[in-house]
Amino acid sequence: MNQSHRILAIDDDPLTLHIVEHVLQKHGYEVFTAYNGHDGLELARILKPDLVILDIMMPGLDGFQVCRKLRENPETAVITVLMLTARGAIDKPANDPVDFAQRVRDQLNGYRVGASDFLTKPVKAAVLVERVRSLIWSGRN
Amino acid sequence: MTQLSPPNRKSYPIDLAYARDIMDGDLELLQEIVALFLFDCSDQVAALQAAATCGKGTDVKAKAHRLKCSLGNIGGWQAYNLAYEIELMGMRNDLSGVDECVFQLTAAMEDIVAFFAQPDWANQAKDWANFDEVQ
Repeated sequence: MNQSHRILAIDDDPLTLHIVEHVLQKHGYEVFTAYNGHDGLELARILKPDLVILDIMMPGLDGFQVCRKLRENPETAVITVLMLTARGAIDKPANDPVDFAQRVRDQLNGYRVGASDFLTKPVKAAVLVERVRSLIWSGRN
Repeated sequence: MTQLSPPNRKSYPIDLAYARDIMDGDLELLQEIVALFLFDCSDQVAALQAAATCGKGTDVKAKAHRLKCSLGNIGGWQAYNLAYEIELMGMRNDLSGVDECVFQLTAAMEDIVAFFAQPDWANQAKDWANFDEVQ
């Protein structure tokens, strides 16, 4: 059933891209990857994926800029975006005030530019798969 | 009946059980990711050391963030937490103590590289999986 669903992952970290690609392919998704925002925008325009998985902190265009440009282009405006962030530390409370404020700013900025959801890296495969399934289902209904 | 003892996880520089959850239990994928990690981890550490020497907070933050991201994918928590501390120093643009932190991170990275240099590390990962299954 998932074979008709296309996912585009945009991240400058090759490890994360390799994991996301492999895990989602194993679950039946057609996965495309881009290492930077410019290539990602071009692929999104050509492929019209069901979901874009987008890293926030990237050199060049960051995830917020990419998401904004996706929304500005009528060809890509309705694509669901799941933002990935490695901000903060996994399983640790954000008890540093600077870090906590940045995390809140990131989430607000993300929603403002049109992201649907967030995940913190590293992401356990089961969580990634379920979130992707849920977002694609929501986008179709 | 002999009861097998689980491996002493605290002595490992890598949380293989966590890494396997990230990889969907796929040991082959874990091996590919480890190979990618080993390919550029020394360059990443060198870039972080250079940024710390230059004393530019934004560079330190970016390099530490990138390294933290890589370490998280393989469950290298000791080094991951040190990279996070260094990232915070960069965010605050207060690099006092960064040299000591980078020194500790470098040592933690050496432990990780030494662990993956063992020819049987993948078998240890399998042992962990078996241990997890019977819990």
